[in-house]
Amino acid sequence: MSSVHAGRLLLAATVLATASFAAGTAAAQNLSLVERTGGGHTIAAVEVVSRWERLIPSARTAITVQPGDDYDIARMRTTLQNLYALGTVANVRVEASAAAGGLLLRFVLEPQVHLWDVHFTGERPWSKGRLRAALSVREGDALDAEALGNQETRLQQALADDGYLLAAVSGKIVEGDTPARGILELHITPGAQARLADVSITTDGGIAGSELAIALALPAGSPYRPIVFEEALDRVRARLLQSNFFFHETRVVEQSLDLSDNSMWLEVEVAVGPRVDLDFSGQPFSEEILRQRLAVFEFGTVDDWALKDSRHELVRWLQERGHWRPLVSYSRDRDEQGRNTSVRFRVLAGRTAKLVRIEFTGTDRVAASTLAATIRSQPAGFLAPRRFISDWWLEDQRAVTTSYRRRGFSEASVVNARARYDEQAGGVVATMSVQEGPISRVRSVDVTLLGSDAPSSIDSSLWATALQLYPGGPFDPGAVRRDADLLRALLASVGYPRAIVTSDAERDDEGVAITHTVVPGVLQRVGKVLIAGNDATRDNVIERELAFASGAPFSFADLLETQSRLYATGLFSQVDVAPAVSDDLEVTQPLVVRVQEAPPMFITYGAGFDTEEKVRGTFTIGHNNIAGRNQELSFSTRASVREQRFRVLFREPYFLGRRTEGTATAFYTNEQEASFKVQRYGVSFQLLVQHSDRVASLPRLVFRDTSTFDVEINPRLIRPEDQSTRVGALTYSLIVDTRPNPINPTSGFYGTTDVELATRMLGSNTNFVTVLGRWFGYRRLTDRLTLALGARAGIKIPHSGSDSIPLPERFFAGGSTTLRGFQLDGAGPVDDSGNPLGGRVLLISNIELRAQLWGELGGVAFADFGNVFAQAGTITWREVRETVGIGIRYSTPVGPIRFDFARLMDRRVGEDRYQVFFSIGHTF
Amino acid sequence: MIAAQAGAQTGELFDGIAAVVNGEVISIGEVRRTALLAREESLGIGELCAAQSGLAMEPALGNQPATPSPIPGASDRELSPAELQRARECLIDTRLVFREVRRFPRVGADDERIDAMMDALTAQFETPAAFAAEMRRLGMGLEEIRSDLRRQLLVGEYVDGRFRATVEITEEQARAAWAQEFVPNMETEGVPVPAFEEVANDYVIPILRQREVNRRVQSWILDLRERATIRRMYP
Repeated sequence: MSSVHAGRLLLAATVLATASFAAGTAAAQNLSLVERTGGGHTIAAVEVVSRWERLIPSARTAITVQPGDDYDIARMRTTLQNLYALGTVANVRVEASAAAGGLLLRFVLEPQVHLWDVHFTGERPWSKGRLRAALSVREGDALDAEALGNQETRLQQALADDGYLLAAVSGKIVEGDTPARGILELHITPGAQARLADVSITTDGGIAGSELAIALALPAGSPYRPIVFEEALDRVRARLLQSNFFFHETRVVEQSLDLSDNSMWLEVEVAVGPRVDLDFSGQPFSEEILRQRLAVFEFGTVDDWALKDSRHELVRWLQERGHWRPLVSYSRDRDEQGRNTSVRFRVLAGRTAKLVRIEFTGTDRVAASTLAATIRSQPAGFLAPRRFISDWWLEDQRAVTTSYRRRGFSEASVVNARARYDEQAGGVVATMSVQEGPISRVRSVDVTLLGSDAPSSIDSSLWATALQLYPGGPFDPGAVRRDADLLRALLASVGYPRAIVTSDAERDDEGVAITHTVVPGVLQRVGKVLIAGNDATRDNVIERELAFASGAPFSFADLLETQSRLYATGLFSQVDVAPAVSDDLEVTQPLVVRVQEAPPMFITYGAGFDTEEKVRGTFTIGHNNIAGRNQELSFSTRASVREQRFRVLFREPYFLGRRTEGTATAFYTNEQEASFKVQRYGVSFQLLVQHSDRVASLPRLVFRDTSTFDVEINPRLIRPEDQSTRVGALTYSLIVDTRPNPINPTSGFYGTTDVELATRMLGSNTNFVTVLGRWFGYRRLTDRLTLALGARAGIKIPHSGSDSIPLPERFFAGGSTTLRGFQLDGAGPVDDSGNPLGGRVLLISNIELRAQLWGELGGVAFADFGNVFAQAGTITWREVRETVGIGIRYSTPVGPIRFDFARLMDRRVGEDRYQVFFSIGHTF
Repeated sequence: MIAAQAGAQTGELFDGIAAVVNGEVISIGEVRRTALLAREESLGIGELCAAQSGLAMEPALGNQPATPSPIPGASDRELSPAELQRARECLIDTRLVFREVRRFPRVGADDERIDAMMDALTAQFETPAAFAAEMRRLGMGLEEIRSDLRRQLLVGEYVDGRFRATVEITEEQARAAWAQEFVPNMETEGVPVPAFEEVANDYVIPILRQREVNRRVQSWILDLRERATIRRMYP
């Protein structure tokens, strides 16, 4: 051991070193207690007390000292840390008294007060909302004397900023209906708001003081607010800049408050400096554009950097408008102090042109189309009138070089890049010449584990397929760092969050040898899991969402996953999952799951309009934490001119203790269909089995009683027993959803495939099988164009003696979401009067080309094909109906507002040629 | 475990939360132990704190006189609030320093070095039983001592890398300090004054270097305190 380490040892282990000097003194207070009790350090019993009983259950789980243990400062500290980390305990006193066999330890817990409400007393110069907004503390934040002092200061400062210069704020924390709920009571004595006695502003010429006084706009007698005064000074500065006084100086030379009448005297002096003569010639720029875009105006300076930046910006502005090669120059004159006092910009805008083509040369080993996909410049196309922007072209050259480097061409470079106007092509052709150079390949990739803690549990399979660089593959220098990061992330996911990875790349004739040296450090495991903050919610509801278990390797990813799952329950407004203390030397990390419950009652309501339902309203009221089990009971209704629905729902997220959502529903609906009215009431029970993020299945048992009224269909075509029915059915649905954005999908797939078996064995008075598939796919064609394709196919087959499908159970089609050439349910077989009869077979396909036109505004062109057929045998090409149309979309956070105009291409007698639809959401 | 209502018979304050530094608890037990050790070791709290945090550990420091215990013979008395406060502040610094150190990746103190330090430590006691008895008296476990040693090593390495490695004492500075401070002190104490060249490398320069390191460390700790959230509950 070196002398340095010996010295460290001597002092570092002070604790025990001291023991040898202090033997026999028994001076510690702990010892005096021990001596008095005569019980030694053994803990005989542990009590937990608090003036708030709710703290006690979670505190018990946090206490690690147990009867029979010897007292140990470190273990006691761990317990205290656990208790504090709960977030519900502000302070802990541990008291001891003599007991049989040792010490009786009593943990006295002081509840942590959290802000529940804020009360303002005294004279309120502002509304409560404004006073509240001035505070930084939010509901649920911990409250203590320090927080109280901070809020007093903040409010006082906010009042002073509004002219209440003599305001005083004093506060206290009052206990709410539980000891954990604190009410912040702030008493305000605002005093009178200061008023402006006089503001004088003087200048040294160039611009009249009276003109600046107008810009200042602070009349005598008006309230004095420091912020408003600063804003007024900014207006003065803006006014000076507007007159090109870029060298001005504004100074407040007098600022005095007369306490006798609370009036403020202000005196401002302005040294305007020389006026800058700015001239733009050659292109008629509007004043607004110049002031918005140019640095000389934005920063109020004509320093050389600002002139260069302004020149660059003018070039850019012209290029964005199609001037493919604008020329901008400037000249300036300086005064005797070296200031640019006269600046003249000369602009030659040049001809306008689109960027019609981008060519690559010298690209033997990487396809030009691959390179084109990596650059920002793109040739003009449909709905994309692209220009040549020189900034982008420079970025593109770097992007191409990077793209080559990533493929192992470490010496690749762009040797020439130019753009020319091509008369024949009718626009700008940009050409980039590349020198590829030789390709470097990875010879070997080694991962070496170092350190005495190197665990056998880490094997190469962990990263075998994950690393970007592999033997024989191209060598990308940047990927070495990315692979090192990946290794750290992989190790963190198996309990080594502080692993050190150093990487080395050695090149020789045979390629590049890469070595990652890993020092994993100590394996950290999850220790005790402490749950706090749940008042109504049961512990097991939180525990079942944990992505980790006590004893498992510690992983930050699991912490985030847990947090995400707990938020997804809808029970909590705040969730924190973190180690009780972040100490990487500890091999076990106690984890604290701290939650803040959201109100369990919820009410939602809304209203809307579309051309099929006209005005529509929705209302839901419910409770999502019945008995603290995250069970939901809700009542919802939806009503429009066409339909009324009422539903009572009970949802259990963990049916029979498994991660499967079970939902029981009782419902009643009353709908106006195209040729009849229908009432349904019934019950259903369904399970939602989530197989993965993208695949789910939905088995369901349903019983519904359906009655039709006001049937307008020719009685000869519909039997009385087919007009009303009772259905008991078992349904299975498979749902696949790969859309990244379900609200406005531009890629992915969404499909449901349903099979329903209605049988007398389940209480049905008719037997039939339904198979129905709905599949929709989306593909982005360009950054503005998306192709959406949809297909729906279904069939209903009577069985076991039944020979028909009851009217309300049949397929209907037509309307804004199916076949837009028809009004709602208007497609398919009809009677003599044109009343839809529905059918047993449904075939629909939709094609939509969706374009983003401008901002949130988009347009679509669509074609719908298909129909409802009475039976499979009646399907003919002639009966496949065709609709084309166009539409407008306006994107909103809840989906696009939709306006569609459809034309039925094969119109027949009695059918309308055009349909117009207005609604919210894409067709599919 | 028994749960009882508040208001039951209360006992002597035994332990509890003394302070919370950025969410990390310092216990009353730790504060008392630190204050007691400072008294028994006749160390100023600053030195004890430096030792516990692993900050000032050059042997050169031993050449400077230790700050006398503020309460001579105090080991027989109750700890004063001032002693407890100083101990608490010392532990706050320790926590702040270690929190900062562990933000940076490092290889870590290896077990072999810690084993060797533990061996040296136990060798100071006549028997393993005596060692165990002292640990018990101080309310410490083996793991806590190992953990402390590990922390101290890490902090030492951090300080070496961040501060000590960049401190340079020139010969001119050493000569100036020698002439203006060391020589007058020795003359006052009646100690024979050696030639500068004889003690420069082993005595003067290490002390000056350590002083500079200490100055930078103190400034660093002050900055850490300003940025920290600290709640004090005891004493």
